[in-house]
Amino acid sequence: MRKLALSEKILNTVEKPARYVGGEMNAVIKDKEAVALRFAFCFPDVYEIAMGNLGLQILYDQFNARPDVWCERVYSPWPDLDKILREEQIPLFALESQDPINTFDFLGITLQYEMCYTNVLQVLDLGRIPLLARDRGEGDPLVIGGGPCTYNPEPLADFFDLFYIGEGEVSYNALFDLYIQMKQEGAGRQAFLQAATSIPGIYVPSLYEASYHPDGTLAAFTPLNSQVPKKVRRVIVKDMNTCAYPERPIVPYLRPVQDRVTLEIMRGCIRGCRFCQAGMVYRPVRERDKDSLMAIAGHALKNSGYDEISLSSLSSSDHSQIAPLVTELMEMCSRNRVNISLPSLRIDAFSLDVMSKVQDVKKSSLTFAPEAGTQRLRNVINKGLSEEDILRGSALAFHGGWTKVKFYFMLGLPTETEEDMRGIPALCQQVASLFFDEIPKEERKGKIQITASSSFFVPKPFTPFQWAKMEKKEEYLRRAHLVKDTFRAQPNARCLHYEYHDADVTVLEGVLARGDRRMGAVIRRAYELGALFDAWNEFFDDHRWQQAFADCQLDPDFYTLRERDENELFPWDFIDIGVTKKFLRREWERAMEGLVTPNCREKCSGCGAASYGCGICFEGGSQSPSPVTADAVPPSPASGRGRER
Amino acid sequence: MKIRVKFGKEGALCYIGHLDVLRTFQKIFRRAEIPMAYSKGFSPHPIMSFALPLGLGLSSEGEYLDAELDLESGQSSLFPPEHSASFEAIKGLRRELMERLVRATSVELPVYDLRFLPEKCENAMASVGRALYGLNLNQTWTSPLEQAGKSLLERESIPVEKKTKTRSLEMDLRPCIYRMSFHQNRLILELSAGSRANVKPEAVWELLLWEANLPENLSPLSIRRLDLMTESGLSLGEVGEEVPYV
Repeated sequence: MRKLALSEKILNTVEKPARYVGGEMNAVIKDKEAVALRFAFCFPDVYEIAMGNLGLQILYDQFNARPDVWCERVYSPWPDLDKILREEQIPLFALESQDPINTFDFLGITLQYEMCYTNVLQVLDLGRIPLLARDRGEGDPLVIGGGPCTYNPEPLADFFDLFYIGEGEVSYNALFDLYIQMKQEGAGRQAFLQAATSIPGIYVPSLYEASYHPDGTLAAFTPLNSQVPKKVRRVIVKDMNTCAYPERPIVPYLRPVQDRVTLEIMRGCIRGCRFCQAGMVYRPVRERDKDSLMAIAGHALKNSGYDEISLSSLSSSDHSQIAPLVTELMEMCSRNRVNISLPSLRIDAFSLDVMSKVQDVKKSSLTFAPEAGTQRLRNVINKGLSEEDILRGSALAFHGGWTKVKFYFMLGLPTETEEDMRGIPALCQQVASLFFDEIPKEERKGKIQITASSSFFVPKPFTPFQWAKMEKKEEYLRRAHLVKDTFRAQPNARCLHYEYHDADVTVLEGVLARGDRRMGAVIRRAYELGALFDAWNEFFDDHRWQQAFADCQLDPDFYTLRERDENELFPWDFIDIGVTKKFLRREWERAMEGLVTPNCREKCSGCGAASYGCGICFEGGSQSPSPVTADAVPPSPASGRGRER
Repeated sequence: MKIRVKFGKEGALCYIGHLDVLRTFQKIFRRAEIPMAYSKGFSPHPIMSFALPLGLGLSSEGEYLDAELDLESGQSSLFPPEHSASFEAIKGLRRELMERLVRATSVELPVYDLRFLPEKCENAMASVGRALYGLNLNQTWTSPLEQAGKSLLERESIPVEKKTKTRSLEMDLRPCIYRMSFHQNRLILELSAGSRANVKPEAVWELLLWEANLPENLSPLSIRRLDLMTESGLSLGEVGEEVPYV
């Protein structure tokens, strides 16, 4: 029997001890003496959240496919165990071997959202790994970060030895080979870090120096020596069909947030919404083809025993084989009593037909993400979803028996006016009226329920809105209250529900998203003051962060309330994602003029992603890449995207 | 076709709650490609029930679940035995089901046995009347505990207060203890279990500590469930046949 790191007494004390014992189906156990490299893969949040992450499953599978590598998992201990580990001085351990993580060669941390940054420090601290990279020595693990937040890794630069910029499938093998070779040769930590910079996608923050102008903006960002590249180019998988996929996903005993097989049907998005970081940093669109997807789905279902499968992508309706794929999947799944969930499908006749077959119409709700209340503002953000699309989709849905509709909006988008804010309740009211107009009284199968929720817009690096200013917390709340009051005044107010996100968190997220190296001190101070699990409402306390900013003499407003100058050097500019800053700036300017840019399938806009030489950029004929500056406003593409959050 | 599966919980599985074990077995049957029968109605679910949930932290070598299979639909390579089927063919089906389950589960959730149940058999949950536990003890406590055990068993009644969420009841523990015996550092307890009267081994342990004048914060090194039995003391694993009634 495996030994467990925690005593029976502790396991019987803490909430959900299953979070800490490992041993799940398809978890990998190896002989630690027989491997050359041990990797602890960390998702810095609680087990049930972490185990839903697809990236983790992909890399776990890929790393463990190497006989000389053993990859294990480690997550944030919940506050109850956190306290016990500190009191009883038990080092944080990995789930598989239950060994302390400071005995590993690598600690890899996936950074999925800014609000997990204090949990990164928790994992290092409980793992007895020095918090600051510069304090680590030969015996300490190399701490490497990956995931969406590495598109601006600078706020975390102090804490990481390396960052991996791009898709994990590409460069880890080279990194592991280099490490194993240099370890055998007896090379030291510094020599390895220096050598690692030659591997595509690897960024070693300690080998760069940042300097600042008197006004606080970045003046220069330079490598410390000539062997270190000035720019780090994001690495991507060129052909999704030849790239491995976890056919034996780990199946947790505790119910994770994603309790199903996730089938990633493509990467990237053709849409180009101007607020959306994923839509820019995962370009170009690369699909897996139907046959390869069907094979993966079959294996993953059989090896896991899951009774549900979910399609995953940024906009599934844009997959060129979506209809035949869904039809074939439905056949296979209904034979085996497997449910299909279809988030991010555009609401149209096809998707409604499919959804009525795979889910219970009465219970399920349809989701639209118009993001903004008026057409003017939707043009600004390049969200190709018109009022007509929404009304047409809703009417179809009402006739199909659906009575629950959800809307996602953002407040605080660039150029937003009070008219745009009032447009949110107005649009919802229109949909409610449509229900009463379209469906005769005797055919109504339940009460119509329209739920609108709004988050506050946070400008992200590598988006056309990376130059935008944010608002103060009080202004966000004023806008949310204005929307709420307008909702109350609608004729069908009783069918309309409105909720909005927390404004404190938004402002902090904004600071962390576009922060620079100086933020490291603030994050560390906030952690010392007790900040942890900031992504959880019940634990987030803005006072700690305000105190941390004051203690570090850093003004958060500098990062949020300033509209950035066209020529400002950004902390993340040393990363080359393929999409050029010039294109992003052009998109910013088009946004200010309210001009819509066509999607990748309609017309290439010359964003720069074609430099990768793959994907939609080379799908043929008239759509071949060209450095276009389109002036004409193209017809807005019909897209009522439903999506899951 | 109804089957009863005997299984155990070891290591990490001791910390997996009852509902999660249920969901896990649903997945195990899927991985094993053994088609389950589904309930009728609005949200059909596989028909499966457990004899008696095991407390978190306890290991076991005597857990039972009843499941209903759907071999008739022809969805799998398994077929129900025909009326004329030979004894050998039916034994072959049992062996095949066992092999598939063993392949689909993990070492910490071992599957020990599988039996076919007669159609009208009482389900596992309803038939549980007793449970057998083994408690591992620290040597220094063994002899005072053994003394305490003897004196407890000599009494005609052992009134205890049983607290429920809303009120506390007086009950007699004595008739609920079928067996209490010490074997070196091991205490074997056979206690009432199931819907009529359910006595946890921890409750008897507390009583023993009190009787032996030992500090109340002592706990056994480990508690393991060894088996589940009917009211009359027949192991649930003895119910049913290795071959189905056809």
